[in-house]
Amino acid sequence: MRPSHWFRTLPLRLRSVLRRGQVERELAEEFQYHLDMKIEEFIAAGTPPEEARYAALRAMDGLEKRKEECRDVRRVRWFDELRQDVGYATRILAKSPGFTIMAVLMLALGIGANTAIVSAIDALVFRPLPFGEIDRLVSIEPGSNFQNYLDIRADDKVFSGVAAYMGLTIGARTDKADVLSGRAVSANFFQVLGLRMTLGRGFVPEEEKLPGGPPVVVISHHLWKQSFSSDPAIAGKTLKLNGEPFDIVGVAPEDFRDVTGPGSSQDIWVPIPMFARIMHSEKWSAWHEAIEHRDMYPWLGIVAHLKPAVTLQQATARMHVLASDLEKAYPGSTKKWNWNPTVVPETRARWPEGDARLLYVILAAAALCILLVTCTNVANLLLARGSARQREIVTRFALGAGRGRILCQLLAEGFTLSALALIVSLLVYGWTLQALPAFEDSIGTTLSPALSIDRRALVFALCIGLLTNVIFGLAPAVVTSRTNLTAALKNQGLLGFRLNKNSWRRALVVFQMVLTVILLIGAGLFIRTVWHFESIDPGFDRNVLLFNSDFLLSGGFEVGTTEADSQVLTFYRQGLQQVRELPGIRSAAWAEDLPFERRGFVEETIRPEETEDRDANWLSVHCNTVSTAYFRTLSIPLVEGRDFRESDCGNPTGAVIVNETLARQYWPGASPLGKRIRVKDQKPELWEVVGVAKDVKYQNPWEHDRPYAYFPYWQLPPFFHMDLHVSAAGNPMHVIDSIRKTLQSVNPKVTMNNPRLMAERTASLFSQERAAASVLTVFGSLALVLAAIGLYGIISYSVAQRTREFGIRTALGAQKGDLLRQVTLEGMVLIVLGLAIGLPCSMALSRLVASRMHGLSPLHPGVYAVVSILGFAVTLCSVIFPARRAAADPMAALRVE
Amino acid sequence: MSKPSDLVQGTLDLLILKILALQPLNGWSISQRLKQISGDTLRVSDGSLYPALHKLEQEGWIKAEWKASENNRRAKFYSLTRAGRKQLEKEAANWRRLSAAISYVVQIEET
Repeated sequence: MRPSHWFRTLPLRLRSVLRRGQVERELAEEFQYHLDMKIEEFIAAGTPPEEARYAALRAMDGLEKRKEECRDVRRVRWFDELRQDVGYATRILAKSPGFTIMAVLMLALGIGANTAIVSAIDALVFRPLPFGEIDRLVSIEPGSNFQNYLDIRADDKVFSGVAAYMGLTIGARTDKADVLSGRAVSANFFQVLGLRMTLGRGFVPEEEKLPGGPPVVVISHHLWKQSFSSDPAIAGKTLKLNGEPFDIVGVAPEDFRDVTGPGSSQDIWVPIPMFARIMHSEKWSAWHEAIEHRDMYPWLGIVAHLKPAVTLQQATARMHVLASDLEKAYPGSTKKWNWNPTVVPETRARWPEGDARLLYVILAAAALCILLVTCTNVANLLLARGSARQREIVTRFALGAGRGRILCQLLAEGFTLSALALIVSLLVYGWTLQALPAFEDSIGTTLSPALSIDRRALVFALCIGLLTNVIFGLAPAVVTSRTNLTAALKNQGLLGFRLNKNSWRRALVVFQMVLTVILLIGAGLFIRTVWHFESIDPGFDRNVLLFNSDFLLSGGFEVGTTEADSQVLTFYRQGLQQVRELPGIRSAAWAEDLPFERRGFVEETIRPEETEDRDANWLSVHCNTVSTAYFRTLSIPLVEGRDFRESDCGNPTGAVIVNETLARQYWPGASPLGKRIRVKDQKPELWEVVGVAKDVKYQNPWEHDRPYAYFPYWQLPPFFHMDLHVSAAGNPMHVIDSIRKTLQSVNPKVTMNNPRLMAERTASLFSQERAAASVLTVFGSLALVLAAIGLYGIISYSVAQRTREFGIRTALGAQKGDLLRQVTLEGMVLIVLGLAIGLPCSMALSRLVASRMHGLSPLHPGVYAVVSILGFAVTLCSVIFPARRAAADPMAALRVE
Repeated sequence: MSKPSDLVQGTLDLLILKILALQPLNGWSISQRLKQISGDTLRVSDGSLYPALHKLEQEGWIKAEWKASENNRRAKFYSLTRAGRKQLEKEAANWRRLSAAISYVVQIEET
C-alpha cells in the first residue's frame, strides 16, 4: 500500500478500531435499509409479506456472511481478535487468582529489580558525558612531575592539549565550616577535557604561574546549586578556603564530577600552585621540591587530547622520545622513577575505576539471573496450566481453531500477565531505588541525584517486560499448542503429550538450580572473604577512638613556618597532656598514619648505619610519626626495648622504633637495640633503635611482613597532621565531648570532626565485598526459594497425574515407603543434575571475583560444600511434601475412579 | 438455477465508480441503477455490492455520508472523492484498452 494512501485512510481505519460499536451499528443499518427496500419491492411485485422477507434475505446471499466480508475489508480483524484474546485471558486469569498473583509478583520482582539496577548503572556509566571528544582523550601512564609535565605540554607533535591534575586531593574548610574536596589542576584542564563551563571560565595561563598567581577557584555545579543557590552572578564572588579568600571564576558543567570517573566527585578545582595556598604549605620545602625538582616521582596525573589521525602507538612512541630527551637534558629526571610512559585511552570517564566496576557487574549479573529465574518459574507455571487446560485447548482445536489462533490466545495470557507485572514492578522499582543509596559508600559516589523514575528506565522496563513475555510465554505456548488432536481427545492418550511437556518443565527447573547455585556460590565466596579478613587480628586495638584533626588546615594554625611549627607542636603536647588527665581515659596518643589508610607521602628512605654496600641497602619504608604512649593506646606490644620518651628530645641522634620485620631484615639474628639507621635527606640523619614493636597489619589485613618504622613527632615533624587516638576505660562514646572541649580550651580555633571507632574504619575496608555479599545473598536466596517452588510444582503435578498408578501399585502390594522413595528420587535427580551443572559453572565463574579475595582461593571447598548442602536440603523439602502426599492415601484415587 | 457469471475481476468497482460519478447514491439506489443500466446482462447480487462499496471506501476512492433518502429514511450515501475520480479515469482507460484488445482477438477470422 502506498504510504500516502495509507495515511489518507488512517482516520477511517482508526474509526473502525476506536468507534467499533458505532461502525457496527452503521453496518447493520445500511444492510437493514437495503433489506427493507428489497422487501417493499417484492411486496409491490405481489409477493406475500412473509415470503418477501425471506426472498430479500436470499437475494442477499447470506446477510451475516456479507457483513463479515465488509468487516474483513476494513482490515481490523486482528484487532478484534486481540480484544477477544485479551478479554478471554483476563477472565481466565481472574478465575485462578492464586496463579495470577504468584506469577505477577514473581515477574514484577524480576522486572523491577532489573530496571532499578540498570537505571543505577545507566545513571553512573551511560549518562551523557560532559567531555568534548571523549574518543580522542587519552591518559599518559604513569603521570609526570610538574617540571617534566611542562615540557610534555610544550611538545605539540601528537597532542593538541595536555592537562595535568594532582592525584592528591585537597581538603578545604569554608568559613561556614563545610569541608570541601578539590583537585589542583593545570590551567588548560577544562579546555583539554572539552568541558563547557556552566558559567564563567576555566583557568588562564597566568593563574598557573609560580609561586602563585591570583587565588582563583572553579566550583562544581553541585556546590553552586547547594551553597550559592545557583546564583547567576557567581563569577567574581569570593569563597574562603581554609581561611584564604579565593575568587570564583567559573562553574563546572553539571555532569562533570571528577577526572577520575564517576567513582569520585570534587567540589572545587584550583590551579596547581594554589594547592600550597589552600593547604598552607607554601613555605614547605617538600612542596618546593615537588614543584621544582625534575627527579620528583610522577605525582601528577596526565590527560591529553590526541591530534586528529594520531594513533595511540604513535603517541606512545613520541612519549618515549620525549622521555629520552628529558633524560639527556636532565640526567636522573626519568631514570630515577623508571619513567616509561604509555598512552592509553581515557576510559575512566565511562567506567568507574577497577574496584567499583566489579560491583556493578555483579549487581547487573545477579539482577539478570533473578530475571531468568522468575521467567523460568512463570514459564513453568504456564506449562503446568497448559497441561491442566489440555482438554479446553483440544476442544478448541476440534471446533476448528487454527494452531496460530490458539498460540495467540496463549500468548495473550502471557501478555496480560506481563502488563500486570509491569505495573507492579514499578513499585518494586521504587523500593529498590530507595534501597540503592545504601550502597553509595561501596560505590564511592552519590547515587541519589542521578536516580529518579525517568523515561529511559520506563522504556527499559517495558522492553524487558516484553522480553520476559517472549521468554516465559512463547515457549510454553508453542509446546502447549503442539497437541496431537486424536491422541488427546482419547482420555488416556494424553500420556505421550504429558511426558514431552514434563521434560520441558524439568529442564527449566534444572536451569533454575544452576543459576541459584551460581548466585549462592558468589555470595558464599564474598561472605567468606569478609569473615576471613575480619577474623584476622590486625594486631591493634579496634576499640580506639580516632579524632581527625583537619583543624590544622582550617586556619587554626599556619603550618610551615618554624614559629608555626612550634605552635602546632605546642598544641600537640598541651592537648595530649590535658586529654590524658581527663577521667575515663586509659591512654591517648597522636599519630600521623592511620592503620588501613596510608596517606600519600609517609615514607622514608633508610639504611643501616654500618653497611658494606652503601647504595644497595637503601630501603623505602612506610613509617609513622607518633607521640609517646602510641603503642600502649593501640595495645601494640613492644617486643624489645622501650617506648619513646620526651627526654629523647635534644639528643644529636634521633630515637626510632622499628617493627619485627624491619629488625629481621637489617640485623638478622642480632638484637637491633642500640643499632643505628641512616634516614635520607632528614635531620638528624642518624637514628638509634630504642624499641622493637610487634608486627601489625598496616595497610590491609592480607599484607605480609611489611617493614615499618616509627618516629617521634618532636624529632621528625609530621608531613601532614596527626590524629588523636584515644583508648577509653569505659564506653569510648562517653568521653567524646570532654575531649573536644579540652582541645578547644587549648586552642579555641580548633574544631574537631566527629570521631570514629577504629573498628568502623577497618570495617569500611570491606564495604564493597559486603555489598556484593548482601546483594548475592538476597538474590541467591530468592532464586533458591523460586527454584524450590518450581520443583514443588513439578513433583506435585507428577504425583497428581499418577495417583491412579500409585493406587494400583498399592493394591498390588507396594509399600508406602516404596512410593515415597520413588517420587523423592524423581525430584532428587533434578536437584543433583542442577548441582552437577551449577558447581562447575560456578568454579569457572569464580575466577572473576578472585581478585577481590586477596589471595584466598575462589575454589574454597567449604563454600561449595555449604552451598551444595543448603541447596540440596531446601529443594529436597519441596520434593518430600508432595511425595508424602502421594504415599498418604493412594487408595483414595481408586475410590474416586 | 445457474448463477449469473461473475463479473470480470474489478469491473464491479469500475461500474460503481462510474455510477457514483454521475451523482451520490445510497447502496440500494446503486443496485437499482446497476440493474437499470445493464438490464439483465450484468447481474450483481445484492450481497456482493456492499463489500465492494466498503472496499472502495477503505481505499479512499469514495466517501460515505448519512443523509435522508427519497423516502425520508436515513441512508448511507456514497460519493466519489478526488482520488476516486482519478481512479475512475484510470480504470476506464484500462477497460477500453482491455475490451479493444479482446474484441480484436474475437474478430480475428478463423482460417
